[in-house]
Amino acid sequence: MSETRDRAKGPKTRQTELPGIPPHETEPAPRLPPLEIPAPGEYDDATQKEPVAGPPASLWSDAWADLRTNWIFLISAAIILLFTVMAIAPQLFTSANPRECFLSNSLVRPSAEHWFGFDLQGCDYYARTVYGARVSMSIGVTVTAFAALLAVIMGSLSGYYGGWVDAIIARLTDIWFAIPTILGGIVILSLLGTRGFFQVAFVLIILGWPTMLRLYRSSVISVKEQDYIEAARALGASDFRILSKHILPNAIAPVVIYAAITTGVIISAEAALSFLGVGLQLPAISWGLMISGAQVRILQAPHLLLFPGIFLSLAVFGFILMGDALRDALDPKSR
Amino acid sequence: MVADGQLLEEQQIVADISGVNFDPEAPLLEVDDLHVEFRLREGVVHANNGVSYTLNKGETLAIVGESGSGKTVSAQAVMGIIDTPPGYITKGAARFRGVDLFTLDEEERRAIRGERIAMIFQDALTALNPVFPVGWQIAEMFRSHRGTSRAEARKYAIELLERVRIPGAKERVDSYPHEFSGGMRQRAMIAMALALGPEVLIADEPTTALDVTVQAQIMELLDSLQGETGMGLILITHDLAVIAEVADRAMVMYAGEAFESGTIDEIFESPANPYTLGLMESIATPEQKGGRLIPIEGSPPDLRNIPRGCPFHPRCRFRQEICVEEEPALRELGGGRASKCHFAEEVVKLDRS
Amino acid sequence: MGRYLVRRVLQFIPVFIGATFLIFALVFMIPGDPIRALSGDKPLPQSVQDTLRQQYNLDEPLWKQYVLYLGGVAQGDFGEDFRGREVTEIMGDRLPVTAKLALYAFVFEMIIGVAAGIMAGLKKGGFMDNLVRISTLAVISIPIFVLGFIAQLVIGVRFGWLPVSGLREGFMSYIMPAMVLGSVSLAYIARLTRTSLAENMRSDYVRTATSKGLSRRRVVGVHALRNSLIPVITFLGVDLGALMGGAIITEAIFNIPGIGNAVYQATLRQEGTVVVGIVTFLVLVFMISNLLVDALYAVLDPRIRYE
Repeated sequence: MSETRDRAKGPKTRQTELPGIPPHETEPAPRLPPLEIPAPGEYDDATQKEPVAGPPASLWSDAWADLRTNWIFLISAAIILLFTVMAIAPQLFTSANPRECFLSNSLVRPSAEHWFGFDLQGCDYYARTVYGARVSMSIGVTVTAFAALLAVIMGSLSGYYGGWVDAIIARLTDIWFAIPTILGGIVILSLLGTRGFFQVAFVLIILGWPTMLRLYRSSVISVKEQDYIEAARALGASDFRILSKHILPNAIAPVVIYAAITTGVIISAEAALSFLGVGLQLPAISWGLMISGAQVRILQAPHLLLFPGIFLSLAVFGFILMGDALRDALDPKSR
Repeated sequence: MVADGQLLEEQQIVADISGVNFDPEAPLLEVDDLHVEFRLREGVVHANNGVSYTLNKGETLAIVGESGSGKTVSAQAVMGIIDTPPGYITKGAARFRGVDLFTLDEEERRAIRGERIAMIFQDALTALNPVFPVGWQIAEMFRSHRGTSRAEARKYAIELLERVRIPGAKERVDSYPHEFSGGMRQRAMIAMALALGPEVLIADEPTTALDVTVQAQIMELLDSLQGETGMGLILITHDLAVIAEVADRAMVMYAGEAFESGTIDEIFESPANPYTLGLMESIATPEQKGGRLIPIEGSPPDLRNIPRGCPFHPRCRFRQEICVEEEPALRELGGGRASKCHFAEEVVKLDRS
Repeated sequence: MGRYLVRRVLQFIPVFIGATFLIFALVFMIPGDPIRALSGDKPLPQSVQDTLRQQYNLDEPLWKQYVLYLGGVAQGDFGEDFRGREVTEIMGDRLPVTAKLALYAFVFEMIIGVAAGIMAGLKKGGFMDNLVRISTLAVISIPIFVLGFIAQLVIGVRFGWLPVSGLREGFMSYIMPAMVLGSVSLAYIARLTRTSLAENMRSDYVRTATSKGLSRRRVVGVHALRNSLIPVITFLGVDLGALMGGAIITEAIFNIPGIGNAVYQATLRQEGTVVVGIVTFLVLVFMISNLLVDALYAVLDPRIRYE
């Protein structure tokens, strides 16, 4: 290799002039950042950005810029917004009272005045369907929020500290995973006397947080290896500060995506449990209960099944679509 | 047996049978005014803008440049592995033994790929399939291209592993890529590329992912294999020091074009281009100990937006008015030497003592 | 590889104990009289209550209750219903029915799911890709019971192509319920295959395989696919759990006398002992199948064998 060194000797003093030609100062061209040539098949990632030293808060602003123009995101956001408003203020959608039922109206078909007709008890079905949004949305959001909170807290501890804390939590989640959700839900709920909103929500939170925890934990584990975390630690930041200010914004992306999808899944799960008779009980207004009630008269009055079914599917669809849109924006691998 | 000078002669017969008339007198590989662009959302990337080079039998050509210079793209174009869309070859030819590869159909190109022209890549860990044993992947060349039986192919695979000096080849032929060390993996990839006795081997940054000591071993292996087989070798790299001993000729690329070409001695001892000069100076040497490192100021240009005039002018210390206005032609300096610079003659004559 | 499996089996035991204890504790730790919880609002004759108390050793401390219960499970005793019929007997006739249903659903979802996923994954952004993306989203969104009813109404009643209820027509009776049961999983499998394949097609080793001059069919069908299916296989382990839950709903809608239906009926009749017994059994099945999937995963991905 010394031969190479000989060959590659630079001049002792670095020349900046060509003999015989006077130097001439001109404006340098503006500097543009270097562009990596994509390898075959990688062209979607052609604008892979250089890893930035420091927490890439730009991930979120980039994501937002993408999302704003992404029609999938906009449609899903519109659907979710629709149901949120429906849940908070059902009066905006219907003036009828869902609990005002007259048996004389039993099973009347949909008409121009009463869009969804009436159910077995003679209640305005449109009103009931609209009011049903409240239960579904609130269960979906509540369960997801609490499960996410639990998952973030325990996932932080588990991922960041590792060791026996992690081992215990890992075993616990293993145990949880051994019990399929619907089965576990059926077992627990069938044994409870009263099943109101809190009981059902509680059970769903208990069954749901392990998945989110695993997700956040592995995210924390990969983020904590990053250089800027080392840097923060070297600067003397406390563990809590590191976890909340540095790790959280960067590790939370998969949880956000999953939270959107989970909300849809929870709404579906509550409906399934109510349908089976182990979820909410009458007189609660839940789409699952309504569909359960529709079973008996399904041939005579398919509209009893159809309308809550459509609303339910649409609500779930909105959340899952949102999850997809978020994934496209936030997950660098799928770009 | 596999891949020695004799087999190369035999293969010429096989190639003729596939219907294509190769010219035994023509240079092994001749890339002529190659233009490649990638049409992306963010703009059109001009990856290759008139690249030309020639490779003869038994010759080692080094293609040198920073990342983004387009060196890998020209090799991918020759291999025919550029995804279209978004990559398009807009102009130029790549002649293998006189036949322009771009005029062949996909089946013919596939017959040539792996058999006549082979390529190895930078990171053998990701370049090899993780779920199949290494020997299986090597044997696949024989099974797929020649219809060899599994048992025979496995034998050939073991022979190849021995040829690239992997100890215990018989035991390791069924091991998986992740069970090998970096250097061993790279040797295995070389074995796979050489399986069918190709006439041209393109090595894209073969040592960049390896430790320095292993780099030397791999380079030495490539050198000796080339001596045995007489194949043409193209070494693509950004690291000049690595190719200094092995290469015969070199081509320095910048912004998708050839900025300088010549023999290794010429390029190292008297560069004819300010960019090459800068590359030479930036190699750290023991004499500089205690002093400052001398990089080239600035960064390579965005290939969507190549500067007017000479692409290097924003970073060139010798920059003149003409450099900003007018793009220099690739000037022949005699004896196979060429440089893309308005002041090539002056740069060559710089006293570098 | 052997070490990996042994480790997995060793992990299995504490998890199994934990899971069954969890179910047990939930049932018997609910404040109030556990007998009440097990039987719901229906008053039970004193004799039955006494029998239950004795069977579940309710006079003993909780941990002892559990150990005795576990001992019973190890001997194949999963409890009894209120008339003294053993849970294992109840499951006896129904197990093959559910097993068949699950098997058909499984085959259906695998074949169509993987095929759709491959077609979508090969041409990202193409027509097939968008079609698969949207249709799988729609299928996942529609709850399985809604899907089941719609299938019944449209395919069964309106067009009369397939039977809607019971098992009277043998194999034909299984078709619609199996398709409904497998539908959601099919959607997940299609999406997973699509993403996995698209990702693998961009990998370095696919580039190498192409450079080797292999046919496209071989590059995709052998090299890319083998790697792409690995996450799908791991999904299948989880899938069984979803199938179990789905089976309960599907059997209820299509009136199929399987285990799922047994659980459903038991919840309606508030027979807690049967519910607990069957669910414990199902959890056991689920865990064993996950173990098998882990083993299969190690066979497919050689990198895992050394963890």
